[in-house]
Amino acid sequence: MENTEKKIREVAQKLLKDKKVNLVIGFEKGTLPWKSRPVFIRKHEDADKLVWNQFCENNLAVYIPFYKKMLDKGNTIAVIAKGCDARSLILHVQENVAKREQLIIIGVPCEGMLDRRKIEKEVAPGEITKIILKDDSVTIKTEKEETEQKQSNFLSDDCIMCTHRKPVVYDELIVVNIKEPPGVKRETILNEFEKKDPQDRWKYFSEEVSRCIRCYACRNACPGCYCNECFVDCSQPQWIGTTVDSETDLQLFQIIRTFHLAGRCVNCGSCSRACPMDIDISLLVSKLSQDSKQFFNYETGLEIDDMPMLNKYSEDDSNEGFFEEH
Amino acid sequence: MKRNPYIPIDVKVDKIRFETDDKLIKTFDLVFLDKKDEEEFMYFPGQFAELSILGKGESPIGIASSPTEPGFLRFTVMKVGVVTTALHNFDEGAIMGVRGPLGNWYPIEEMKGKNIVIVGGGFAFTTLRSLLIYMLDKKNRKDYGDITCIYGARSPGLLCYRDELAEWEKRKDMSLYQCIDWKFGPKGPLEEAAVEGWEPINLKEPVKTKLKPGSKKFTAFVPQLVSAVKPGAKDSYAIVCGPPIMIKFTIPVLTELGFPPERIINSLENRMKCGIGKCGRCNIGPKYVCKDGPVFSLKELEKLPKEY
Amino acid sequence: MKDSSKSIKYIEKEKLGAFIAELQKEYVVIAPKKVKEFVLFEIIRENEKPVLDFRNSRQSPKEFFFPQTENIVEYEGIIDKRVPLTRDTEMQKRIIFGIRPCDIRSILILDKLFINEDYVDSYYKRLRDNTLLFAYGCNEPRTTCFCSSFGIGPFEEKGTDGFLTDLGDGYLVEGFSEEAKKAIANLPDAAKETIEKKEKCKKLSNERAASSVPIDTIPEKLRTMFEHPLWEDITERCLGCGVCTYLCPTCHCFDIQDEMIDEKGRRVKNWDSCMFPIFTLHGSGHQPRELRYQRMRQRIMHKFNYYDDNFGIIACSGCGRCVTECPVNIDVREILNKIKKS
Ligand SMILES: Cc1cc2nc3c(=O)[nH]c(=O)nc-3n(C[C@H](O)[C@H](O)[C@H](O)COP(=O)(O)OP(=O)(O)OC[C@H]3O[C@@H](n4cnc5c(N)ncnc54)[C@H](O)[C@@H]3O)c2cc1C
Ligand code: SF4
Ligand code: SF4
Ligand code: SF4
Ligand code: FES
Repeated sequence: MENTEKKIREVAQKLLKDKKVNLVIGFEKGTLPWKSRPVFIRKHEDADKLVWNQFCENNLAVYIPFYKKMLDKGNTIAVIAKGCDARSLILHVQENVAKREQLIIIGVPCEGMLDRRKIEKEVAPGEITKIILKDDSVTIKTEKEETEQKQSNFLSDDCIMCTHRKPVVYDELIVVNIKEPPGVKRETILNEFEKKDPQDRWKYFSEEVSRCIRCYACRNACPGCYCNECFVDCSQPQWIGTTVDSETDLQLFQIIRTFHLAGRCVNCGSCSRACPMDIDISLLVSKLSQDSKQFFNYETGLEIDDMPMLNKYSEDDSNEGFFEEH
Repeated sequence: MKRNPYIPIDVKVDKIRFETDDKLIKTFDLVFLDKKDEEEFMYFPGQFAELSILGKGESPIGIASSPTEPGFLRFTVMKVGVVTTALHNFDEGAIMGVRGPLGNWYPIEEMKGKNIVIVGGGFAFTTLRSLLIYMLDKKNRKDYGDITCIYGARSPGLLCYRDELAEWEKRKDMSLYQCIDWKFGPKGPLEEAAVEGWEPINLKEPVKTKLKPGSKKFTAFVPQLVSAVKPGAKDSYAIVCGPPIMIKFTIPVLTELGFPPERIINSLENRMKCGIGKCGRCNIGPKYVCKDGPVFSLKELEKLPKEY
Repeated sequence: MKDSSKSIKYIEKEKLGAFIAELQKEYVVIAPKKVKEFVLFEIIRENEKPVLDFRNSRQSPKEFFFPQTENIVEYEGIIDKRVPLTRDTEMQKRIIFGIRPCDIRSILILDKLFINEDYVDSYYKRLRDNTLLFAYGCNEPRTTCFCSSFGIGPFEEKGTDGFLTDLGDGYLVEGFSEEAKKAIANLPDAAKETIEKKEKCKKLSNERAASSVPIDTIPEKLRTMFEHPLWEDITERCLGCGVCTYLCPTCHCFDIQDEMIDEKGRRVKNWDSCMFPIFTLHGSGHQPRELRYQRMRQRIMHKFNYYDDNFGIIACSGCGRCVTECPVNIDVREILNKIKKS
């Protein structure tokens, strides 16, 4: 980890010193034991703020649309990118948010991020006061206790299912050996769920979204959700009600959001992680990605010259798909 | 027991008429269904109300009628979005609601004994009409000095309250100056009248315009007409309402004429919902436009952040 | 609160269920419940027991006074003939059991806005008037708690009807208001030692919570900081979501919306957030707070300067929810320290 961090800092420093980029987006140490947080570096002297560890969970591509004006003026941005971040950046290029040459992708192979909620659960009702990561172990301290465990026990669900840990498209690659975490195939997890009765599946889904407080953190944390006016905010016409006591509206919100991400979601898990109500949003988008793969043999953000799945048509596209009954 | 401030008072749409030739602005006269509500609805010029259409929503709209003309409430409304469109679709006889009166009002007490200069642009003339009618009322007229009104719109057909403008033109106890936008050539405004009967003023240096006695209608932008009319600042208040761009250019003219900031009065429009200082939407710094405003003196505004 | 004026009782932990059941005869009991892996305040059903081994609930109980969606007018019929239907304002008395002192402080903060001489929000007042607050002292404040910055602490009693302290085997239950005293009258009196034990808990906890953000000069400082590079600096990573404001026990901005289902309609108050761009967007497209930093500035200014200006109290209770749940770790304590230093 320290080694990776050192390399990241060197690359960022050089890019800024050589004026190749105006801005580097990466991670810095946060104020909470389980958190590294996005940081925006403009001066090469500040590159030492950059950190790398298994709490660098946000998908940094989410910030690119915020810099549209800056990009339109011809500026260049470097992003420290995990596999998923890099794929979202490619999506942004495909969708004309940025030109390829304006994004310097500093690829970092990823061992998977740890899920803060899983760690909290382990020590509850104690409070995490410190976390030490070393090799593949994690030491969790509370005021009273200390426990050391394998990191893999706390891997985030989306990272467990990750299909592209190493950035596929990049400009600089931080060469490090990563240990392959115990990957579980998306199909395996979904099949488990799909074995259930439709009523039970619906019950699970509707119970999950019934907690939604419409804070839209899922949407705002998602690099694919950058519409100028989201359908939930439209008043003319109004697509969806505004309350939280209508179950249908809460369900509609997640269902429509999910569909808008067909062939655009990279399964980074940012939506689920951002959700303050622990709603299992990943399950829905996971299914969507599985269908995209199964019916259209499509995965988001792998090829720069490709188009997002639903933007193209080919004669041998599957006729089955989203509207089929499963 | 005080009234629940969120529940609209029932009113009937009594009269509707188009106000402007583009048909985007209509004036609505509303009457209370319950006489008691009318008595309780005590308002002053400058206040507004939330017009409520159950099923569509509410919109804050300035009260265009004056408390000196009892029996109805008048609102002049531009068709913009959900609520205002629904309102424009109403026929006479429709039942709807109002919440109010809300906000503060023009300083009618403080202005007593002073000369009043009213400067308005476009359809933002609504609460200025209320103020004018109030001051011109027989009982009140003696309380105020000279009354000068400068009012402009893009074209003659876009001036509001044209019947009343014609009456005010004839009055001896006030002066009314009206203007419409320049006639535009390919390179901008031309040195000629836009419409017959409207006189051009000195385009480059409006201050130097020599107003012919008796002429009251000009081709000019509002701030230029103010320059040309040169209302005296001594013992005077200026009340300015209009689109932000008009206000922006009028204030320096008034300042130049010697109006101090505490005697330049504005009315603001921020997005609103509750209208009673609860929903947190309309604030400028610590002030809620709905409750502490919408009327502010320039002096007060200078103390607030420029967030409107 | 003079000692003679309060009643001090004790209840063993295993008897809590029975006590709740007793309360339920007269009151709707609202208490912490486990939802997935976190805790929320909910109405306790029959035979249900509250969960009291928690630090703080994910959302505050502000929902019970200022519901996220609340009907304010109901109506029916065709559009140009609708009038408000009258509604029944009777409601059963409620007890919120186990609410943390910071959340009580937040309610006192909200009171100033919703119930004042300008206007009274009748919906808020009705819920407030019909609810007893039984606070729950924090033996183990979180590291992200900074209530002590605001002149309160983990055992603050102001604004409570009664108070609960976890003493290991049982709870010390204190009643301050007449109604609270009545509600706990059937519990056995507390022994002297138990009362002393509470004092010890309180002392320990107060010491733990002593680390705080120095807040005193902040409102004054902010007065001159509207234009300041700090705002852009602290906002750059903000996603503009509603987490900080929707989880905050003192945030109170709302929207008013109409909704028709078939011929029945309702007008509702819905929570809204100053962090959302559409919050201030005019119908004309004009936008007074176009940029993210302007919205962040509004949030901080409103809490730490405007609210203090208007109501003489800062609109933050130091609960730390925005700190722990912000998806990108924007930490209000850090912001306050930066304001202090700039
Ligand atoms: C104090 C005050 C006085 C006003 N007086 C008049 C008047 O006399 N005549 C007139 O035509 N208009 C007036 N307006 C502007 C008018 O309120 C808006 O045009 C109207 O609310 C648009 O509503 P809508 O539902 O049709 O539009 P939408 O775009 O659908 O707006 C939805 C909601 O947003 C809010 N909103 C949107 N734009 C504005 C805005 N500019 N100001 C306040 N709230 C807004 C309203 O609550 C509105 O219902 C006034 C505004 C204020 C604040
Ligand atoms: S983050 Fe969670 S609570 Fe917030 S809108 Fe999304 S699903 Fe709802
Ligand atoms: S500060 Fe955090 S929680 Fe608040 S809007 Fe920004 S990203 Fe969301
Ligand atoms: S601002 Fe943050 S710490 Fe303060 S009361 Fe709100 S959520 Fe709690
Ligand atoms: S409109 Fe709600 S506070 Fe002003």
